[in-house]
Amino acid sequence: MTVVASPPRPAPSVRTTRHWRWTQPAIVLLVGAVVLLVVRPGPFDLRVLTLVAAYAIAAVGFNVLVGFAGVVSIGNSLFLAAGGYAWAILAVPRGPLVALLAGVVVAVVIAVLAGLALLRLRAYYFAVGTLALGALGTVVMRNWTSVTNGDAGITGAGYLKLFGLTGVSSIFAAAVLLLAVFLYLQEALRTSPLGLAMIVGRFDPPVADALGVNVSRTRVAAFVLSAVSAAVGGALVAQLAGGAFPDQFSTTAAISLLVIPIIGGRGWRWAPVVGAIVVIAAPEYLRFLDEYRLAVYGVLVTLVALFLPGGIHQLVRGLVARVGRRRHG
Amino acid sequence: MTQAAYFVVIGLGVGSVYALSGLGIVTLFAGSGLANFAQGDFMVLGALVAVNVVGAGFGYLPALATAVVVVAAAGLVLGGLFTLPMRHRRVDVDVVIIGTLGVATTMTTLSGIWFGRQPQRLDSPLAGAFIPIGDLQVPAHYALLLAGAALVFGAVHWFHRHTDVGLQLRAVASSVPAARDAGVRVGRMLVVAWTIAALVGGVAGVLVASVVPIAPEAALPLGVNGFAAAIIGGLASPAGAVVGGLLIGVAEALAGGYLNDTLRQAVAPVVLLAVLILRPGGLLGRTRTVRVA
Repeated sequence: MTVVASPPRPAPSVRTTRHWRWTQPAIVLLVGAVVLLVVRPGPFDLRVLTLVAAYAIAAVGFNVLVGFAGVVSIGNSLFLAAGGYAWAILAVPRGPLVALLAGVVVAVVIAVLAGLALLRLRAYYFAVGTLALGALGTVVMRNWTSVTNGDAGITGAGYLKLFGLTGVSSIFAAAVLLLAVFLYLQEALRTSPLGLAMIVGRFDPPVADALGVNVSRTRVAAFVLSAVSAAVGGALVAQLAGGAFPDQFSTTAAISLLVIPIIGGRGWRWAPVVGAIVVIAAPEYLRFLDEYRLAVYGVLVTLVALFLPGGIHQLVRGLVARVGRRRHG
Repeated sequence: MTQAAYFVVIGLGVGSVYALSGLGIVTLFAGSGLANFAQGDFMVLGALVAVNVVGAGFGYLPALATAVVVVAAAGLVLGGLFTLPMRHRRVDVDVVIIGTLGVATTMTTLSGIWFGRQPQRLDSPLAGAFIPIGDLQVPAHYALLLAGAALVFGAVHWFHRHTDVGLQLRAVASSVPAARDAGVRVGRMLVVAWTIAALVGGVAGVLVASVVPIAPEAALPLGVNGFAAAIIGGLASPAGAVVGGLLIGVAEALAGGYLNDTLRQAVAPVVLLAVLILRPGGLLGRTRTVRVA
């Protein structure tokens, strides 16, 4: 048997270098405060920004799942729905903490069961399995009328009141605070043994095995984390909409969630925020395209997936490298 | 008993459409390793083009021909697009999945704009004809569904077994590097695989539109059913996909007939998940050993 040099592996796009963990949360909080106190956007803009923050929270877990563990799920709308419906049902009678925790617990239970059952499969099979899971979730939402009230959904959900703010401003403040917390956790995870195990498992499964990393267990952990962040994001989406409805948590929502970290650049620490701005805010401001905006968005997603697999991060890195060369050369 | 037979016949008819959807997915998966989440959109495009051609006053066969040509053209374009980045470097699985999801979003939206969002039905050439089963009457179109699916499957099978291009496709399916070393133009074969998948989807869409009214949003459930059919057969076996599709069709018809519509909608996802959990290699497939490194 002859020895053939294996082709060079692409350099991992996920950096494991240490950042100061508070930089990102501090920037997010600062920008949030400036927006709320100085810029004072109109009601429509504030609503869009809040939705961006809510989806960014949900996407943090997805960034971990896709970027760190390298697993694609098309069923995370299920966890958004768990958070959203738990909030809509429990927030007013039982208080916000119970509602938020209930959603997270339901999402975690589903994620652990589904993860243990499906994550030993190869990538495609897992993606198709989660697609079926999401489709099943939609059927349940539409038909389990005693809990979800079917197609009509649940209204009168109430929202978190913070700092004496009311209405959308208060939801925005809550979303920014939670986003800062989740971004801190993302950075903490990246340099933790669990996070490093996920990244090794993604880029080199045999090496991970040799290092004693249980790849399928780290994948389940990443899936559970994505469920937690999606449930919290879903609770915020429900607050913003004033209730939980099946259409909010359809497969389209799962696709948006999947597209956010990819557009941003898988595993990049800013991917959830940058991706959410592009995926959630851009269609709102593309309304001049009218009914074609979803088509344009789909084309954009396809082109990024095929020709810019590193997402916006790739552009940023290219730009930074070019500026650096000019300065030194 | 006649009622059960009635549901089975209906189920086989609808199942043959799922079988074709699964056949399209399997063809592309075997040829290029891609999971195509836009397969349902090929079916919708075919169905809606045919509805509009018939609406313009032409017959069923010209409608079928137009639909097939339009969908094949779409498959050709998409095949070319998806082959471009694969020429020089290996593309990540997750990225390609997202690419096909983007295609699905675009096609669903465009179909909605061009053809309207309402479910539309295509008049069957056999409208008014019935097959008696006991004292129940099955529309003759269900027989046409089965015959059409058998014809398409036979044609795809013949193409793979008895043409030079089919041989090259099978070479790519079994090993891309080996096929390339033997002189197969792998990129072109990927385009061919996309086109076949689109063709199969287009025919299936035209066939099903006479039994189930088709709206652009139906693409996703049709695709999920196709995936369920493909996965039951092991994702790489065309015959397995056909068997899987028929099974799901019959299961859906029985669930819808004896239980209720909610359970009917849940059949395909539940079957898919059950097979993935219990027999990941497919009900008919062999469990393949995975080579590490």
